[in-house]
Amino acid sequence: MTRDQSKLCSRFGAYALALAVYALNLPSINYFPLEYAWRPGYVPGLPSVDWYGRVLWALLVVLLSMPVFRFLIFRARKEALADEWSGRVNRVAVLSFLVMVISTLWTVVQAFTATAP
Amino acid sequence: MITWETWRVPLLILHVLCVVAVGACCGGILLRPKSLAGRAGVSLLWVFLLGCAITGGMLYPAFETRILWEKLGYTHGLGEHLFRVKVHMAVTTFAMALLLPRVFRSAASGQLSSRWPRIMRHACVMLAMLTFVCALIGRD
Repeated sequence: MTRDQSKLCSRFGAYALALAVYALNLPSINYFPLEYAWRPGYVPGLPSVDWYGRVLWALLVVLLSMPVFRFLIFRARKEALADEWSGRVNRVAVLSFLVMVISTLWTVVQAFTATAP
Repeated sequence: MITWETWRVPLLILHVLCVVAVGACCGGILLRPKSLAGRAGVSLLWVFLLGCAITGGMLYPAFETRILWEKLGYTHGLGEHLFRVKVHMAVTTFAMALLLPRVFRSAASGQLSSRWPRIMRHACVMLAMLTFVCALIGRD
């Protein structure tokens, strides 16, 4: 596996995971760093932290998972030619792409059907 | 006196410029994939999407008002749903656009199947266009 292939794999994996977490819509982290204070997700008159929180989870997942994936791929790769690995890289791409498409469909359906908490 | 409202018009102009640039990138990627315009589009798409996200995020009161209505139990019309869908699809497009240049490079050097650039390109352009359509239909 070449360096390019390992980078591509880890990025595909990390972005797919981030979009899955975004689609899950986890409860927001109630601390928004620029506010200098803890406050609940919704205060009338202030920007909703719920929304920042959702994007923040996705960002955190990318930042935390990418180096982990890089390390796992680094451990898994053997002395092999790029050709022999391209099948596996393609499979990772297919799987991640499916996760991305499904999570997008999920968020879109939720945006149309879910009621406010 | 400078208030939040003062920044809304230039921000809106910047947002529209970024949207136009995203449209141009999509056009270049689709219509002239081999030429300089297409290759520049592949590399720059994520930058302009990020610009859209930043300026869109700074135009936040619009979104906040919608959230407030939602929390108060406002019955939604199609516009509010389309507004949310637009934002969600923009997030997804951004993630895919970030992958696009590396996918093209890997496919060009034979490390990835050559159908991947085609699939990702079409997925990105389709999502960006759907986002745009949502924004057009859902505007107030």
